[in-house]
Amino acid sequence: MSAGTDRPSDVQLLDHIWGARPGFIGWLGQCNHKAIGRRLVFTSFVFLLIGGALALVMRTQLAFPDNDVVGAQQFNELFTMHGTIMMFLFVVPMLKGFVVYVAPLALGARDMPMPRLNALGYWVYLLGGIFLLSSFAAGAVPDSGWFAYVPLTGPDYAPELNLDFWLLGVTMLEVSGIVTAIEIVTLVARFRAPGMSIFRMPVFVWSGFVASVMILFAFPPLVAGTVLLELDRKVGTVFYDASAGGDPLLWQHLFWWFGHPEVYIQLIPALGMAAAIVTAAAGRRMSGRTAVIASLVAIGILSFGLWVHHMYATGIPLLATSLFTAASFMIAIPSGVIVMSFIGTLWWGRIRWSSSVLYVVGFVFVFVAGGITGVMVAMVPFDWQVHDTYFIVAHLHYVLVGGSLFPILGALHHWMPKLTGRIMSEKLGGWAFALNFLGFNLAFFPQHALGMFGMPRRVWTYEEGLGWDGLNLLSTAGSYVMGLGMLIFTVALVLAHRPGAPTAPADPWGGDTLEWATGSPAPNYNFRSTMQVYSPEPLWDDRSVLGDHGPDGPDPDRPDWQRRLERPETGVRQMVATTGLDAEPDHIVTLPGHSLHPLWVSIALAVALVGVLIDSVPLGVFGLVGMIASAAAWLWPGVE
Amino acid sequence: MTRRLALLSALLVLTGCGLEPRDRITDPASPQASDIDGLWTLSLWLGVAVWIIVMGLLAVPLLRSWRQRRDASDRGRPASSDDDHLDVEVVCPPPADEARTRADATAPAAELDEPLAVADPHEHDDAQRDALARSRLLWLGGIVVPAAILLLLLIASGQVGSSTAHVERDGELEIDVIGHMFWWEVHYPELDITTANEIHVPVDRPVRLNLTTEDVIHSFWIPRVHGKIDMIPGRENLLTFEPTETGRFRGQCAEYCGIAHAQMVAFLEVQEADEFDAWVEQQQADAAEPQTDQEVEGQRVFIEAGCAACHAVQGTDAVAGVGPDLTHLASRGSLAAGIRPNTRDDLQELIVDPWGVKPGNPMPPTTLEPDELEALLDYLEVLE
Repeated sequence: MSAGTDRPSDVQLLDHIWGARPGFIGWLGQCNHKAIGRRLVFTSFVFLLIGGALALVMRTQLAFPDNDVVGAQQFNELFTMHGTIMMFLFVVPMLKGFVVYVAPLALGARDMPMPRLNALGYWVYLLGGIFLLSSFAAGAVPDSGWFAYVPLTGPDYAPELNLDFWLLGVTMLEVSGIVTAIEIVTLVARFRAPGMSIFRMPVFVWSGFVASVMILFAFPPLVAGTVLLELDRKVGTVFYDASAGGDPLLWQHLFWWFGHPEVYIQLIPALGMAAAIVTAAAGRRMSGRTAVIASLVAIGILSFGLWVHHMYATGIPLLATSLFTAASFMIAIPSGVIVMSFIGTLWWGRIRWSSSVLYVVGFVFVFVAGGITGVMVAMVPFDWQVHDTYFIVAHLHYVLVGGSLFPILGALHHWMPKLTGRIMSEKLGGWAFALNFLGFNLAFFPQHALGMFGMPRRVWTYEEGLGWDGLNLLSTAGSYVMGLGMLIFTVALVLAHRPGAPTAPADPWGGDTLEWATGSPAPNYNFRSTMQVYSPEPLWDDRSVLGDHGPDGPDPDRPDWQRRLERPETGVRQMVATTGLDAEPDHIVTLPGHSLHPLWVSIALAVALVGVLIDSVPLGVFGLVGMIASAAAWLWPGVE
Repeated sequence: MTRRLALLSALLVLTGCGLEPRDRITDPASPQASDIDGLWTLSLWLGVAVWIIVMGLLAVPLLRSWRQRRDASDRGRPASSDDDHLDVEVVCPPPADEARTRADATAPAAELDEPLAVADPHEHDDAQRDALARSRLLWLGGIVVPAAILLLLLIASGQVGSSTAHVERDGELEIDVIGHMFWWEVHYPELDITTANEIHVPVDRPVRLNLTTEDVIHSFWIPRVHGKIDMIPGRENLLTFEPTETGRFRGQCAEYCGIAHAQMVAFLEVQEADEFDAWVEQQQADAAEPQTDQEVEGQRVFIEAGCAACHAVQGTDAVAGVGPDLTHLASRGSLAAGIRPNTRDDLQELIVDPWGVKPGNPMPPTTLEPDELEALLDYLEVLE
């Protein structure tokens, strides 16, 4: 911007301001929501593949009775890490990644409101994941199941480091989840495009918002639970020690107070993804759109009243548990409303087929079945029979694969153009879907029967002659088919990004929401101009003001602040904040750009936790001091 | 379709290999298990009905769309861009609408929300017409019908719950079952019997189990007589049932309890009353005395080689209570918490290589001279 005649265009100026700094350090220090969102999506995809590979090893072991592919200890490590990776390292970060990438675009914002905090969320997640997986290298892999019941995980029965890896790693992941949730709630509350009143917000953004509010209430109890258990293990407190007046059931209450909302935190944004795909595919407004939003909120609230249905067999009196049956049943109503809305939308729209639509169809097929078995296991007496059996394994995979994985795979197809500017092969996508769908049902449907035949979950072997052989073999065969499906999906993902692969148009699906109004991939600054939104589907109505109205554009009377956002001569990143409900323009906020502070804070946190892990006070103190120092540098006024 | 295929192939595999499940929930042997089975049957049929209806509703638009695609390709013209997203090249975003840029930016926001938005404005009238049907689908399919079914199931669940939950009964046989890593200790407090892993009860008499644990959480479960209930440190849980059928029912620990969780099996032996009485009489007796020199030698090995540090044999100097009571070991049908038949070979393997038989077994391997081992086995076989 030297004093010359060639003044940079608005777009060049915006691109420069919102772009990453050059070089590796510039890449590392990116805080923009698109960089963070992409990182979350692709990192968690890698964890999905790792978690899936562990599952295939388990299914191989269980293919035949008295098999010895892996031993008891390895098997116990495998199912613990499979559950932990899928729950904490794949589903939640993947969903958050999509919300972080797509929500600001769908709201017409230029970034998340606190970009550096957003970066912190990613770095803590990445380091937490590496911390957990480093237990393989340390030879102390967590082996107590993903819900880590005491006293098996207490100091008496798990004296080695295995559980410390789990507790400290999971705590990091929870911190990361809370940080990102705060970020998303703030974004949704204050950074919607002018005119996008709360009920004009896209359903997907609603779902991300509901899930984030849930995270704020659901994750702290688990942080409390894991900290208490770590104190029992490291300091010698007796919170969970029954012989000293503690109570092992306290852990179960704390864990499931987190754990039950958690499964809905994994479901709700996936429902939002499916809603986005269905709406775009049908070319119609979501049938019963307001009812769908109300249902998402209802599920979010009700999910906090269900945790005891994981504890029916603990001896809690029947009257109390029956109330949880009723509460669990209630959640079927909003779920039913949502499913009916999806069907209604497809029914009255004209379906434009794509792989993402296939995944939504697969989602309805599988999720409804999982919901029905969910109603069954919510009945106390029936749950006494099938609790902790393969019936539950089948149920939870029907709900989570149907309700989370399928929509996520569909969303990867749907939003890949926006994420990277590339479009995944529909041909490979169709094959991957067919194999995933077939393999999934083949792998998990027989497990219902296995549970009915008395096979408990988490068994590394079983004897011949119990009548479990054939079904287990079938289930293993199905899991291989699904493994092949995931392999093809991964190939399609990689091929789409090979040099010279076709690039995606801005709006390949005829979408309704604002992210399709900008380029693919979204430019650094997201949108050149401030938009004015008049309906929930701004790209389909004929009133909303979108896109590129430059100095010679049709709206010369736009307010001065909009001109300044279009041409930020100040050279800083700015976007408009709006009011909470009606989204009236309120004020302009200035956002930080490049920053390495979040990375330093995360590394210092990891160092401190390694200190706790290996009982090294100096290392712990070093990490703590590092955290304080890097946080101080982060917050120091005037220094970016 | 896939489900039916899966079910079908599952049945084929089952029948093909002649693998009848040994114990299943749907083959109840007590009124409690029978009530729960009834609840399962009810919910299964309702669930299948709901699933089929929902899939039917889903199938209508899908089939229609497929038919349209087929018709379009039959007529030899390329499918419209609406129908074909399989080919990226032909996909065009809707043309930028001139009207958009002419928006009335001053109109109050709230007044402009349309009841329906559609990508193609020509469909608007159709969309309006469909609104009523859509609202019916949502209300009936999403709320009214599910609520009615759920209410029915809630009542059924409550009734079965109260008929199967624990209540005090006259003449009930009281048994304490204590979970250990990784076996079950069994006491009959009124009969003064201690045994392990195999619970004998008479048919047609209420049984009450007092369930506790010695270490971590276990869960006691015999599918054919009742649901499971956890054994939790610091608590006692009760389970009552009334077996109505004789037989040897299998169950295994249902709460993950550590490395050998998979190999913690219990058997419930339901006997006719007179058989049960005979069993009680046998179990109440002290251990059989060794007769031959070999057996006497075996008893010496038992005490001196370390077995007695953990195991008790009533009537001898072995009184430890860490491992299962072996007073009547030879009368049991299985070894190592139900995972091996009670044969001499299995017993030998268990003594020599306990970690091979059951990884994580707290019992250490015992090194014995071959003749000492034979003597020990001879002695253990005496303990009828």
